[in-house]
Amino acid sequence: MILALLKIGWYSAWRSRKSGSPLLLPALALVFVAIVWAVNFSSRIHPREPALEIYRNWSAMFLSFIVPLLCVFSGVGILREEVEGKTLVFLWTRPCGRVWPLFAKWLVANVVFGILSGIAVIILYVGIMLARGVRDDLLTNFAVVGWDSAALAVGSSIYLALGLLFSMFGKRAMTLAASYVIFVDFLAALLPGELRKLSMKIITLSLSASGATLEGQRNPLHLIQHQELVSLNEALATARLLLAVLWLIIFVLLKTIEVGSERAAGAS
Amino acid sequence: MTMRNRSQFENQDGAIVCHGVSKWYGQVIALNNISLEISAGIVGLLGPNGAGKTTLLELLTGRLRPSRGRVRVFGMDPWTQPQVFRRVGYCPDSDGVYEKMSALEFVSLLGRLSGLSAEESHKSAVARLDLVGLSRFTHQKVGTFSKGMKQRVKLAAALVHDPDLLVLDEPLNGLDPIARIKMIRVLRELAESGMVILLSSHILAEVEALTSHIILIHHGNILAEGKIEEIRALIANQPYTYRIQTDDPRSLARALVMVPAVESVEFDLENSSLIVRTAEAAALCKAVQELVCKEGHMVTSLAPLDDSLEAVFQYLVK
Repeated sequence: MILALLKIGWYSAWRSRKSGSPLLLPALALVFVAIVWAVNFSSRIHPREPALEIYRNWSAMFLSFIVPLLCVFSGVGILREEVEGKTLVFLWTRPCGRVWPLFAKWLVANVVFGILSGIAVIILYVGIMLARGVRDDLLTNFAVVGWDSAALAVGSSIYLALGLLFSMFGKRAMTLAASYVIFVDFLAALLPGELRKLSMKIITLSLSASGATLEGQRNPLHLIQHQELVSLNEALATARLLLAVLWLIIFVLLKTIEVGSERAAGAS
Repeated sequence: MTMRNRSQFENQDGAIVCHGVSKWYGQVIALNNISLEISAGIVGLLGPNGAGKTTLLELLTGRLRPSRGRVRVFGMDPWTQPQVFRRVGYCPDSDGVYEKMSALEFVSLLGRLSGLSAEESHKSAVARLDLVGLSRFTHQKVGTFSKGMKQRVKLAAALVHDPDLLVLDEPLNGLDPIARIKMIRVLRELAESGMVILLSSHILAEVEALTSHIILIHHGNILAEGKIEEIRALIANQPYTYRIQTDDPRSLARALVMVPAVESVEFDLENSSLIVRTAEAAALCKAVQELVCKEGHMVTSLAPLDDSLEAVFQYLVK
């Protein structure tokens, strides 16, 4: 049954209407690299020095905006696609219950996003380094890619769960998800003290910034220098806690929402 | 097709037991204090659109929670105990299917979600697709299927784990006449094997072709439950209507108006027949028999017009 559940997740991740969203990650990485190449040719900047910083800036955009947005939308799709495609009835009238099919879909989406965001940051890193003329010591700072991939994997799992939670608010789910990433998460990152840990962006950026101790690096996240990040341990602990709380809420809601064909909290 | 020995599942309670079940949405009452018990055979759930049929099926399949009352399927609450779905197959009315899967993949996958092993599920899926007449299309994408074929693949998916109870929402929708006849045959065979089948429809002839055991539902209330004939007999204050075909309608009409049991006689000269209303069907039949034997009237047919579900339903709704 577990394999069958994962197969449903796999099917949804690749074949459903919103399957394009994780594929946008490597596609956008290629676009960013192209922009860097174009800028590099048009301006005669010193080819070597700012390469890592440029990479950091672009990867910060991935971490703080692109991946969160794609992941919440994809998370919304985990339930909404089944509701809108009228296939949820097949999953929820089986002995596996209501939670497992959606958990399996979330799990598979995590793997897909994890792999594709890893590929995206590799494309970004290698592309930018080559564009800036860094060839011989390309692998010197390659550990940064590892940290960014790990941060994206953790971040995507939280944002996917958040999207799944939003999906239970019916047709407004997409608007809610976009509003959260663009406004709420951004504002939470500006909160003072411990409260800023409520921003998932801060958590993922902090995980990524853990690679900042690597030799020869400057402030890794130029775009958010004004924001105070948290330590690796704090970030990991908060990520675990957030994920647990999100799934607890999802679990309770899935046990209570009604999905009748005509009127339902989750269906209408 | 291998059938499980269903006697092991015989339950002292019915397969479906609803006790005082109500379902409301705000101030709208979808079901009002419904109690019913279904234990065997094919049962037709009948009612016009909006009567509450789908709400009842959704309560039985755990998609909705009753606002009041108790729903039990094989003694379990479908809202809180999804394990009951090992014994329940549900074929929804909606067109939704995993369109990019092949029919075999789709049915087999749902078999595995119902707890079958990969091998069992594959074998059962092949057998069920064959049963519903889709054996030639097992590797075709479900998205390319016609509405009728989708209906059949959904039935195969509902049957893949060999359930003891089959719940069907408008199962004959979209089927062409030949597929309809085949589907009716399949459902009858399943019922004969011991499967309990509950099917909903707003098309009375569909249900009539499958079963005489019906539940009539209207505005969230059960109007009547039982055999069509029994329900018809309950409507004592409504006259029975018969069509009598004869070669001499005028002469027979003159004789019939003298029979005390006859309430009215109408001519249908186009069809060379009489429409006769009576409160006592047996007395009318006996009188007609006597008129034929003793007075030499030629009667070619005597048939009730309103023993059909349509008539019964119209009477009850009035």
